[in-house]
Amino acid sequence: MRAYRADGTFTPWILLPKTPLFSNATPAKSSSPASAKPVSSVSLLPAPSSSDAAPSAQQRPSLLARAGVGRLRILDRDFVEPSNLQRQSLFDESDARDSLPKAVAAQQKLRSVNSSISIEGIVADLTSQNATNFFPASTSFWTALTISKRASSSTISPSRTTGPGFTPPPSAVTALP
Amino acid sequence: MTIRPGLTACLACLLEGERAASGVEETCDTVGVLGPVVQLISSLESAEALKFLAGKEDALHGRLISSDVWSGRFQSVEISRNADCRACARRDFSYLEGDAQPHVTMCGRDSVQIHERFRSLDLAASARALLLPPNPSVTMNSFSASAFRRMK
Repeated sequence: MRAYRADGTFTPWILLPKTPLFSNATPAKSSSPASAKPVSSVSLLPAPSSSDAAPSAQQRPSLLARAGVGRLRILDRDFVEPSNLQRQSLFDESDARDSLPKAVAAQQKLRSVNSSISIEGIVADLTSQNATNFFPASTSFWTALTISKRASSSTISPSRTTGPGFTPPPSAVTALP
Repeated sequence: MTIRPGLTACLACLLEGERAASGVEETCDTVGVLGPVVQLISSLESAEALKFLAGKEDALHGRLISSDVWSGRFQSVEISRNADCRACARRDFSYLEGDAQPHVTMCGRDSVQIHERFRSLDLAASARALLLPPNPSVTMNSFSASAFRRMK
């Protein structure tokens, strides 16, 4: 969790580090540049080939952004439509009116939720052909929620990560062919 | 259900081995999705993600949770690994070796997704083409061009 800014000051409105769950989540004492980076990254993927296979994918990033997860990457190929608003609470009527891609609309919304984290919306389908573009080979795939977490070894380590789990593309919003 | 490859049951452990579904199950297209269940499931998933990111993997519940928010029923069952699972035991990742995606009809609407990977798309040209009668209006942004036709 990115509870501490680069200069070491505490970000008070991120509540998680105050909870007992994070009682051992003290900031790195070392002043290495790595300790200033976001320590966690999450990629959110609706299951491929069905825009509604994982409707909760459109809601999860809000909770994670509010929790202060340092880096969010959102993949979605779909566009916001009025019929989505009944269940996808991240979007509103103006998104549907503008037919915004969900990844773009989500990025805009989440920016306003938490401006201190890195949010990357990518308009694309996740397929077997392009999966490795989005995740390093060592990434562990989870069912609908995929978490990219670069551990120090090739196995998933229970220790906290110290760096971003992927390399961001040059632009914040990337439309892929 | 939270899946950690090699540590917990995977989706193939759970779903394969039975006869494949024949495509007659209910979909969002036929029965819809009750809005509140989305919030419920995303909350459960987010809590799991936060535990994982916090390094508290022993706190992951390790269960398959299902809920019917209409009847108020919840179910939580432990899922064990299939020792002979195609995916997580035999490591036969057939979905990763799949062919290029077929064009698919999108759920819940009258549209078809076409995967064009070899030609670039000129949205402005498409919008100009769509402007021809009988399309009364065309809207466009950086990501899409839309035309609406009045149906008789």
